[in-house]
Amino acid sequence: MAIKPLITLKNVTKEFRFGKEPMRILRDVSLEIQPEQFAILLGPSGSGKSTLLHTLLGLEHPTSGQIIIANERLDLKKPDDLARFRLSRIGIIYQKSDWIRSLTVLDNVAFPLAILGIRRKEREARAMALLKQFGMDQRAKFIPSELSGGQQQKVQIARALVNNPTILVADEPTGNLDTESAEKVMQTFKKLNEEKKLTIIMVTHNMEYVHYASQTIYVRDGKVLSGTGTFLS
Amino acid sequence: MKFGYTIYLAASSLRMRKLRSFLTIGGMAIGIGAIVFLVSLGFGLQALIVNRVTNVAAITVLDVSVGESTILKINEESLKSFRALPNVISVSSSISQSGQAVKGETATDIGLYGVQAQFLNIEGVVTNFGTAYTTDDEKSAIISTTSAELLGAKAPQDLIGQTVTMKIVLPDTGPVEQERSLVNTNASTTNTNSTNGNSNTNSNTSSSIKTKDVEVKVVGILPSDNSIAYMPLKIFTDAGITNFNLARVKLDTRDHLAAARSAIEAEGFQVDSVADTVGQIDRIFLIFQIVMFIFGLIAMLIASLGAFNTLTVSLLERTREVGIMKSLGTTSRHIYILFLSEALLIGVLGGISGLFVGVGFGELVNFIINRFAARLGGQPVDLFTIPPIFLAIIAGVIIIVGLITGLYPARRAAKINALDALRYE
Repeated sequence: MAIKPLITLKNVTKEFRFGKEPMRILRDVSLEIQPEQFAILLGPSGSGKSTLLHTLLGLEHPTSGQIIIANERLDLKKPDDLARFRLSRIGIIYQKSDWIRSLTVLDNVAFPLAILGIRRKEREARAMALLKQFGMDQRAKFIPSELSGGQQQKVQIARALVNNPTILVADEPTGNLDTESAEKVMQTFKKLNEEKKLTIIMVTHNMEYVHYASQTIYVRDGKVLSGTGTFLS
Repeated sequence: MKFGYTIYLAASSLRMRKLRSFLTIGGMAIGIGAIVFLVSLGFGLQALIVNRVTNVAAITVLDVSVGESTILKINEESLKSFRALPNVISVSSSISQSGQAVKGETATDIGLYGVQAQFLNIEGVVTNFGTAYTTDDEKSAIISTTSAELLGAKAPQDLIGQTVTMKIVLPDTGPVEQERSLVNTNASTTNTNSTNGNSNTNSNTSSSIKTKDVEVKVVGILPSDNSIAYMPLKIFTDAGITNFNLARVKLDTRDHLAAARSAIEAEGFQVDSVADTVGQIDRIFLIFQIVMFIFGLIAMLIASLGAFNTLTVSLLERTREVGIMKSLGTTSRHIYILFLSEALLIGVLGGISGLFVGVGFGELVNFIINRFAARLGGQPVDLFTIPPIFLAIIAGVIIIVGLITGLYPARRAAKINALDALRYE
């Protein structure tokens, strides 16, 4: 019996309006991602892969279609409910690190826990443990903008993991990094996928990383070319 | 998100932009300070003038007279009924009669007041030479500087210790006749003079009036342009005057004035009170304070616009920050509360500093004025005073202003779309 997919998209369409002209960015996308997969969304610039990712995150509301994650219909949820859903289920990593600039590295990593209303002592302990895991504990009292790109990306991963998500979503996480730092980030993802059994969805236009993936989803002109559950060795 | 964390986040944002926060909070402080300073000047002036108009003792006193009535009388019986009213501490009575003061060959018309020694302070009798009489059994008088001059004293104080004969005009039994006889006072006193001061009991003719001669020792001089003298009330009652011109009913607190007043007025008496004058002063100063408050409010408004501007600019700068907060799971409501808290924090910090600025500046001016006053020999004054209720009002104003300046930026921040914000450069 097939395992029930963690993420299911059914006939998802997303249209944007530029002036009077509607532009269809996602065209009838259907796909499934099983638990504990390392899925890579691959495609050239402007293919719609970022929009697909944002739709998955509930940051973009689909024009039509269904989005089901862990048995919950995201396309039916209100923005604040989606925010709560992300908080409890999903860790997010962006290409460009964004921070609450008035807070230290430690406070930034602990921020998702603060949203949940967890006490300071506990959230700082959890954030510190993660920073230590990524070798960033010495930088805990720094302001994030004082760190290098690679270091910032490590802190971003720590922040994405702090509330124990089941899904880690990364949008071009290596885009701003040198090859060495990028490779380290990819290794980290691989480890998280294999050891922590995290489901990882990563968007990239770089073919080099395909070998990390257990499922590759090609996106072009708003369509998924190779459909669900394509396994590459 | 817990409230404490929201405040922490708002404070950290203010701390990060130190100069801007300082200037904005400083602007608020000046605005609130201006209100506090101007309004406390209003309160201070009011207190100053009220204190000048009346002493504290007189503020709880009702002055009872018969008014226009020719039937009503204030006598021992009515005093007794006043004493029986609730919350009445004491009732004093006074008599005013016209008369003549004679010293040797010199005589002058004089207004004579009979007041008990203990109530001289309520009357506002302050001597500039000599002392006031201290007992009611004395045959003594405090006379005005004008009377002293009219009696031929080179300097008013020369008269202290000397004896003066006071001819007290005794009221007629019929009020109509009394009025008529007063018209002829000058002519008739000359007549009665010739009877060597004994009281004239002949009341058949309207042109003659009864007088009673009393020899008194001058104990004090009070400054006045009128020819008047104060003597113990007993001198008048001993002369057979049983109706008083005025009763002073002293109550325990100002709050009980109204009840006692209506009770006495119900008996037909006319009641006046220093509190009436104070009430009028209060009304005038209320307007003054409102005007001052409006001036302060204008300063406050300008400061609020500054705060509003700061918050709006700060929001634009932090658009990406709002985006990341939302994508990490912060709800719009939390973002709203966060920005509102920041506005409130600016308001509260500015407000507290403003209170210090306003009160401090007022105290400084007080200090300087009093130094000047002391040097010039004047009395110390408090030109700036702040009643606690006003502080409560200011606290309310701070919170309302904080909320109003924060509402728009907070709403805008809450409405920001996370993705748009993350694309924002």
